[in-house]
Amino acid sequence: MASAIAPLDTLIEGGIPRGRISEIVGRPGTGRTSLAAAFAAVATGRGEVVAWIDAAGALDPASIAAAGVDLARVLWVSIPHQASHARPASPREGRILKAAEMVLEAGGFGLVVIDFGATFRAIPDSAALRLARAAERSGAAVIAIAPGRICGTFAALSIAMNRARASFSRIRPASPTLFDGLLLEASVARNKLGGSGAHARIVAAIDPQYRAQRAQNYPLPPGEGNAAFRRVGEGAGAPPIAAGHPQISSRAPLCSALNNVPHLTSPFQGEGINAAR
Amino acid sequence: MARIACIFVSDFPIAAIVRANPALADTVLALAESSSAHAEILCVSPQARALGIHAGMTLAQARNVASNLTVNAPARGAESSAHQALADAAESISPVVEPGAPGCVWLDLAGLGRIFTSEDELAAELTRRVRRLGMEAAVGIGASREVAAMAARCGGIRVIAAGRERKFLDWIPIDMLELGADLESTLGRWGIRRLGDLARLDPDAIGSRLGRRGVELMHIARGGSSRPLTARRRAELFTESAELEYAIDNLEPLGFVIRAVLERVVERLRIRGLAAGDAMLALGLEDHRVASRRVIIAAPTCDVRALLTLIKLALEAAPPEAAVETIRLEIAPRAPRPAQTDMFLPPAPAPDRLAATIARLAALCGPGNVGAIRAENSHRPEVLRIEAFDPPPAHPASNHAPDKSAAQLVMRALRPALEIEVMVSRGGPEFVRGANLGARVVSIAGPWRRDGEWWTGPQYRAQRAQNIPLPPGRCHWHAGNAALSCVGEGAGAQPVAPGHPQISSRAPLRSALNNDPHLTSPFQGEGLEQGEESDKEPVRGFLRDYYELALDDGGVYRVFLDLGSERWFLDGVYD
Repeated sequence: MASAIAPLDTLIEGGIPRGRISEIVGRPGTGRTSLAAAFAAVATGRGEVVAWIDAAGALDPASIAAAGVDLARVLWVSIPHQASHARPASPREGRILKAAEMVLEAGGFGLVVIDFGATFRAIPDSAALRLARAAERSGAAVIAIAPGRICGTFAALSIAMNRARASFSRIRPASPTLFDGLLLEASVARNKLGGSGAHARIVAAIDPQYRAQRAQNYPLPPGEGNAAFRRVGEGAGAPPIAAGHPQISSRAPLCSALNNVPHLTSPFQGEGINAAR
Repeated sequence: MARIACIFVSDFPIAAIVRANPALADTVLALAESSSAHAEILCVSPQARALGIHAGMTLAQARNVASNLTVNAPARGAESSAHQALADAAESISPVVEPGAPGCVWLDLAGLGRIFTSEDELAAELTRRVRRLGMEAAVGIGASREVAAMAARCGGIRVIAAGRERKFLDWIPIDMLELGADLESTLGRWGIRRLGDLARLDPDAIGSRLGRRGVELMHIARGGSSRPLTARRRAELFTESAELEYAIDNLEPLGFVIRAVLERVVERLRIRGLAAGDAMLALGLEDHRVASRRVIIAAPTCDVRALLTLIKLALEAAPPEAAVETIRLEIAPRAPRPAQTDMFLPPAPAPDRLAATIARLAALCGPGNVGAIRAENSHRPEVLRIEAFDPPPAHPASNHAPDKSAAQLVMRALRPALEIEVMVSRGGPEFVRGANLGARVVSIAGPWRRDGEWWTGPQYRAQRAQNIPLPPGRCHWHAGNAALSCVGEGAGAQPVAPGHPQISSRAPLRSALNNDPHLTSPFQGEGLEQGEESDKEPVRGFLRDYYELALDDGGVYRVFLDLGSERWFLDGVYD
């Protein structure tokens, strides 16, 4: 299953394997969720059903939808910290794995994302083996997001993520600073189906389209500079805006408002970093 | 000619109790209103009848005959449920079903010849389905309700072929019609013992002596029907109940009883091709109160284990205040999601397995933690809603998603937002400290102001209700100016009165107002400084300044300053 992100697909030789466990490991803020969302976007774009087992309860539907994931095809399962009354003795890690196995046993899911949250302890071999067998039987691609390698030898692919730098920039010298995105470093820590050790740099941007435009040095048309910063995620369920009704809740008018207020300009005026360059 | 089938369960009160409590199936059982020695027996099981016990005996007499006699009180709830179950079995075959007296149900067989090759096969299928529901039934098929009922009362499966009704009815005793003691004694005095005797009489003579009732009897005795079937309304709720011999004050044994009740409801749903939706559990308590618990079922399912776990969760969250004496379970039927698989479409979960899985997941994680997640249409980024997961049909697969050079950056949300301490200098955050967090700010973007829901304040609503302009100091606009109206303030937004455009947030409004020469505003030319003026009013809704902060711990976080409380919160990290 490909991610449709060229550098990543090149790094992992086409995509993650179906019927196997793939790990995306790294500290929070290293782009793990963005990569998992890219795979989920491809899967839902093909009409497949995705399960997202969210141990951290951290899934942000607006930004996931902005990443191209069709939320109608995503079964979200949040694992609460406290066990339910019916299963008081059930530890949280056990419930995460139990939920994953239930989803895999149901069959028909193209991708199952298991976000282990801040859990760093590797799961027991017996549990990892059960999970791997369930993935194999169902044929679903399984992505495990964790701070460290969590499935041990039962993971077919392990991508280690690191953040190279964050990119902050300005449209023009007097304008406020904007957060563009992250430059990520991905390396293959383990790959049963290919070589390991390769690494690549991947850009994860707030607005990839704008970044692509800038990267190609396409000058923005006059008057459309602000429009490029319009946030997509003002609510996935937001009704379409009628013609003649500007979307004034976006960042764009606020930028223009800030431009008119000299004392509210960013303290980092003129210090923007453009990591892409 | 019409063909009618009748399902009949003999000793129905006993059958209903045995259905609710299968352990009583082989016992010598009698029903009586009380357990005193002089109580009259109302109904007996076949085993008791074989020993010579019959209705009308006192319990003392019956115990002389059988010392191992088990006496139960009639269970009205169980009888009602069993009667509904009979109707469900009939309705699984034919859409036109008329429930009769307890233990008797008719169904119209018109059009079923295409499904069943013979009426014998249909009758056998009916008995199988009733057996699945925990009862043994006799089935009779004939040209009329009465013929079918009398055929069923004969026991087993009896099909009366068309045109042979008179021959069948000839030997039927007249008391099988249950005419009442007076009419039966009258006919007895005339020497009429069987329906054949009645059919051979002159209708005019019978009519002159017995009136309209006599003519109807003649018609029935000659194989005719008194009236056509009247279809019952489809059940909106599937109800089963259980009356306990002893009150239960512990949830664990109560679970076993509820499981039995649940299995009976689910079997009825299965026979009808339906699945269980939301459930309502009513527990009759020892202190004569009723404790009701509503159980939300995330997806329609027939998985008893998952349903039972959800019911247990509801009970453990709010246990009954006293010991439980009766249980009544109502389940709303829901149609299972149909699916058509396609060789050229990507595989999708089978609807029944998906529903069972969702129900089991809800039992594991809690009902509010499973479903399709959606961003609520609100300016509060943390607001989301969970909907029932019902994926749309798959569309033709495309393996050629366009390759991108960059990924879309996604945020991991912190729910609830983590309160933090932020050191501010030179007008911007410089150091952030919170639980498991303490780092210097390296880069900063923002602030981005989000302001909303101020229109939900009582003053604004009162003014809007009176359709008068807002006072100076709030904001002014030209009524009907479309440039300022903004849709999508959220599903919960109040409808806007005519002439009052809905403003999404203050800051953009000021921006728009400043740029539009046709609009007047108290904020004209003053930018965000007007926020200070509004700060004098009590803050309604929310007013936040959002920042994106790169910290020296390596993460980029989204934090906001709540201007109402002057507190800082961390609500996500870009990942």
